[in-house]
Amino acid sequence: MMAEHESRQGGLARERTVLAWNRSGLAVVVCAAALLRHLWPLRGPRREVSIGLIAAAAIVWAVALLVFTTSTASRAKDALIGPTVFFLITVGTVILAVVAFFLAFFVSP
Amino acid sequence: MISSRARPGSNIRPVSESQPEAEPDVRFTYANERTFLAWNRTALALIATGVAATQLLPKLQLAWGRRLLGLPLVILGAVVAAESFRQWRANDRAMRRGDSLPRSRLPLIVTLGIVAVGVLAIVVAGFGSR
Repeated sequence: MMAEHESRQGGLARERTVLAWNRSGLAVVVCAAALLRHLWPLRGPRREVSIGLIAAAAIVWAVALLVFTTSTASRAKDALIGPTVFFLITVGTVILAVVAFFLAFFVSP
Repeated sequence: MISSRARPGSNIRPVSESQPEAEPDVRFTYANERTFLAWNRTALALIATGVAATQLLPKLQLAWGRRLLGLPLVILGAVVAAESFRQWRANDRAMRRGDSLPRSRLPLIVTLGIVAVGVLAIVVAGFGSR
């Protein structure tokens, strides 16, 4: 009975974590859309470029989420996601910040 | 102190540093993961807000006014992202050793950063009203 309760608690924790990954993916897409602000309004060839970039970000994150959710099924007792993944996410966010800095500094609104 | 290796409700004592590292309770690991992701989303929000401030605000009377507000937010976002990774690693190491979790610097960093940008915004608004 206790084991079942703890297993359920672990399952709920996993579910909350997957939802957190999902929100993070949406945040990445929204941030990318904000960085592409200078390409708006979406007219002409820029439209395809912008929509393609945003769609690519969404697809990449959806695939990553799928891999994550399928891998968590068998990782309950093993080490969870390694430091490499967290490091790459951090590097990606810092790169977004660097791009944002140059856009904010050099591109006139 | 709650040992990250102990199950909630149990009386397992924390393991000292001399003992080898062990896999912590999976729920604590998930909680650490979610905390990292939450701080990373905060970083992304700060970056997006910084870009929005420079690109979407109307032109201010003070030269470089929009950049003065936006660029610190972008820099703060980068700092929060880097610090969130450092905090995740420190928490993970502490949980594996059974130590208490280290104190987080992120709330102080974010608070000071946002207060500084707020003060800048007041100054910029003051110049704009003249």
